[in-house]
Amino acid sequence: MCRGISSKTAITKIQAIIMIIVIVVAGSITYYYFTLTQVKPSEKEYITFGVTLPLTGSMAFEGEHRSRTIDIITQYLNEKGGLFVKEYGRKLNVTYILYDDTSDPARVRDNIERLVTIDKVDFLFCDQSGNKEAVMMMAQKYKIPQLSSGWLPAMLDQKGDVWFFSIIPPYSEYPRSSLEFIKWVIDNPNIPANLKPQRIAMVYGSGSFGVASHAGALYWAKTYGIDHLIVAQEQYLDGAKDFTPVITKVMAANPDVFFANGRSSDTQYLIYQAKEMGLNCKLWVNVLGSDTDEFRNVLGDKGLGIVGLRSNWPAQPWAGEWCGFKWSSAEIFDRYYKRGINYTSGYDISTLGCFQVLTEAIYRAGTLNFTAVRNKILELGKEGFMIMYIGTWLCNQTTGERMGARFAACQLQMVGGALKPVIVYPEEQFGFKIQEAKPIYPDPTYKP
Amino acid sequence: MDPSTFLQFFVNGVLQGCIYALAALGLTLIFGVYHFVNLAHGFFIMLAAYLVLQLCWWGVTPILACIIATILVVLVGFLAYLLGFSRLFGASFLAQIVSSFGLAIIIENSLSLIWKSDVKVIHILSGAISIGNVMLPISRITSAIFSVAATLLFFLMLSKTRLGKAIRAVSQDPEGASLLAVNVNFIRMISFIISCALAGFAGTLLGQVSAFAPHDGHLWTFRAFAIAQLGGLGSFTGAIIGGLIIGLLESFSVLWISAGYVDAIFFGALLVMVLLRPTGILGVGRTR
Amino acid sequence: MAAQDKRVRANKILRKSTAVSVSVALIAILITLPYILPAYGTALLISIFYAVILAISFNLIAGYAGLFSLGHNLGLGSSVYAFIFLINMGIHVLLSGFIAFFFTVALAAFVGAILIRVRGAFFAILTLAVCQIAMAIANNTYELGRAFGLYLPTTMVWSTQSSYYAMLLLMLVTYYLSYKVVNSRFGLALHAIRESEEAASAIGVDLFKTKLLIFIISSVPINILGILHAFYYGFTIPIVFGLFIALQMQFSAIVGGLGTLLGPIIGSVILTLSSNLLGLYFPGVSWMFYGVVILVVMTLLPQGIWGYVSTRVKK
Repeated sequence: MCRGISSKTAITKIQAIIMIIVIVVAGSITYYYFTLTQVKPSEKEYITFGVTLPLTGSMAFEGEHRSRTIDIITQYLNEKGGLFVKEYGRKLNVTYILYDDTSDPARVRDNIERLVTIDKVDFLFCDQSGNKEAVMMMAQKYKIPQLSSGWLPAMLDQKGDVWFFSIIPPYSEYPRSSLEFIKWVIDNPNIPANLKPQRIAMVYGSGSFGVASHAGALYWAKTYGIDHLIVAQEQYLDGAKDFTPVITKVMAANPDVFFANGRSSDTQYLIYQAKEMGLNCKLWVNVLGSDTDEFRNVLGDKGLGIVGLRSNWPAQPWAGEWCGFKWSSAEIFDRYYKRGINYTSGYDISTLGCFQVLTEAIYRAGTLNFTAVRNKILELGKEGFMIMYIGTWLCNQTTGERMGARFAACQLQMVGGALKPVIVYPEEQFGFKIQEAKPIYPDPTYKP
Repeated sequence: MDPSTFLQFFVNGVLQGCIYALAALGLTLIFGVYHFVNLAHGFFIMLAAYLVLQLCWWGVTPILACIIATILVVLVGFLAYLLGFSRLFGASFLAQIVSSFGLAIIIENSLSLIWKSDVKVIHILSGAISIGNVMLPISRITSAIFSVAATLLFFLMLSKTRLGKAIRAVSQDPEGASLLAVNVNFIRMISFIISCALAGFAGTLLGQVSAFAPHDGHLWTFRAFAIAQLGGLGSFTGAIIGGLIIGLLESFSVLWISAGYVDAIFFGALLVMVLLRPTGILGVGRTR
Repeated sequence: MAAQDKRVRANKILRKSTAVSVSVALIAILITLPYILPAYGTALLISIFYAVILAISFNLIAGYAGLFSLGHNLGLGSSVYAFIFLINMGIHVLLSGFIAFFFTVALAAFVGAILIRVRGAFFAILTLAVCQIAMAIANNTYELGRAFGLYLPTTMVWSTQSSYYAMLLLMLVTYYLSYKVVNSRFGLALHAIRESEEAASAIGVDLFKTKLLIFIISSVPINILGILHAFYYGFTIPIVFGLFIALQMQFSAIVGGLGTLLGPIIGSVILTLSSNLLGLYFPGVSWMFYGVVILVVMTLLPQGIWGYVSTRVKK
């Protein structure tokens, strides 16, 4: 009787395995067939963009901002009638499919596979700075042009066969305007000698932005002849929350310029804590993000007089026509307001810029073919927008005129009772003044 | 090097260490006494910080917010205890790790969903006072003072109250304690609740001195473990000493190595400690 | 009696031949799948194989030897970094592969020799500590690319199909390895150690050697996986040493059933498939789902899914 039971249960176990396998395989094949879609060109109604963003995980705040911008800009484009594609002879509405990659690079890769091979999107739009390495590898591998906010050193190794473009200059460009501003202060005859900067302490983040930006800061300091003023270079751990040790080290060098060079989510606390600890500086510089609302909220009154670069405007790469119609940054910005978003972050703006460049390239190419669009992206670059990367252009807010190839320095000043970023440097670019106010120098709390 | 700079680093380390010690105290109670590996410990700390943040946004006075947040964290811990953690105490170490990790993940994602993942900080007090050339931010001083006060309260409870004596009895000899009519299960539950309370209170203080994001929870868990281990499992005084040592190590590591290694310092200390002296500095417990 | 013996043996042969034919059929299906499925399906399967290899390796050390390693992905990170680093220095692919492999095996031996002296919870946390320190080093060293990480030249990156077959092969070899280890005398020694170390050493098992050996053996598949990772993804970043991957490894093995041969496979398939597909349709909850599944499984089925099934179904 034991024999009978054992043979029965032995087969049952194997049957269980077989059943599981069959179910899984059958399910997968069925799923595949149900998701297979083909659309004929004459029936084509939409251009579908495939998007993968970190909606959860450590980069969730980036994903949230970028996804809302994609939503806003696609709606805006559709209200203007859509994107005209010559190949189809008419305007097509744009839509997108968004997947969450949970900030995991492996998931980014898989999501892109899915978007391309199952959802069969027309184009990919995977602008994210969190896992752009994975996006870059997929772009290079499958030869799909990708626009991104942020570049990678590895891009330079691709030797001409580049499919991954950045609309933002290399990180090493970021500190440039802030250092120009320091030079301007030094050269300014109206500032008494004892108030001029003499000892610069540079504090930078350990992440990719901080390290590259710091290297750039050293380069530009040397170019402007002020590198002999650097008395301290300290690195903090990216994402650190307690900066006291680093600040202590900096204070030991007795600087009068505090040059914070890292992601604004870190430097806002860095500067706050430095001021708390009583560091007394003539000038406080925060390279990235000084003009964000969050920065102003965190620092409050301590933010007055801080200088940094200006980039977070809703004003975009070029004035005039976009995809064949007149556009206005004010209209787009209005839509953020309507959603209860009172300020745009760098993520919003860079995604906006990327999308505009990509759609403009599609418009000019007249087709959705990857190679043709890529060639148009390269042409846009030669026009002055991009080489392998483009510099963010400043636009005059009222006329929309293009103003410069690099960032300008802004400063946090009290305007109408509220702390606002105001451009203080440079005075002139391309023949017209963009300076809106005189810089406040030295820092209002400085005690000589 | 300038002696006042050295002193600054030293003071930074001590002030930070006081709060670290409080964070580890609860873990010492649970891990040292019951060998319960609670990998959600760091997330109780995080939860408290977020609750204080939210309460302050709603206009609650800061001190009240800290108290309410601690109580809420205790409630969450109690809920977890009732819903299954109580069974984990005698269970295999694997079950403890996996289950507490599961809870940790759930808390982490809840924090992420509700408050988003960007970095936050609690600004209650600002400004700094200077003693000689040493700068002492006021928020750090008050946090350290409150940590010390909470720690002293804990020690007082341990030595003076009946409950404290019962806890000590159980920690030294569970069977003997039960023979003396100590309700071991009840003490176990109380210990867990106290552990959560200590973690929660530490969280309210930590949120004021450093910025935090949901994913820091794991770091806090392991930092607390490192401190508990360093000081010696089962030894509460050891946790204090461990906390101060780790605080000082992290502070001086910026000076001696680079700032990029700060979050790995306590791991290194843990590694060295377990290999050289598994019982910790003041260890009385057994290594499992 | 003789007749019954014959029938028992006949059943064994029947079971074994059924098992073999099922395995062959399964492998045949897996080999043909890339031609049927779109590239995403292949990529998803690669993710599953990746998880399976990690889970089986973890199962070897944690399930069979009882050494719970929270940082078993040290070998993964080390081999990827070593491999890509060597390739970027201009060294030939095969040579780089060999050097990277032996380097990581040596590293595993070194780390294992130091760490296996401690037990239980401490071993777990120390292995995690080693991984975190490795991550800090990768994050701070210029030659290792710091936060940017290291990249393979794009021309060397494998196609999805090639990677699929490589991963499939590695997965089968890993499974076979685990099967052989478990069903050998060495496997008995492991079993003895897991049950009771004192008793095991009493019957003459060399604790240190056995534990070290399984530590090294269980990291071999992970080392090779690291090299395949380099070929498939084309880059590596410090996160590869992180807790995230270690957790995935453990949960797959535990949910499937620690200490069983098929457990890690089933756990990996279920968790990887569900978290990927969930993440597509319900963004934001896939990690939450992970946590809930873990808690539910540990409460209801502490031996894991396959562990439960195999104890219910008597041999």
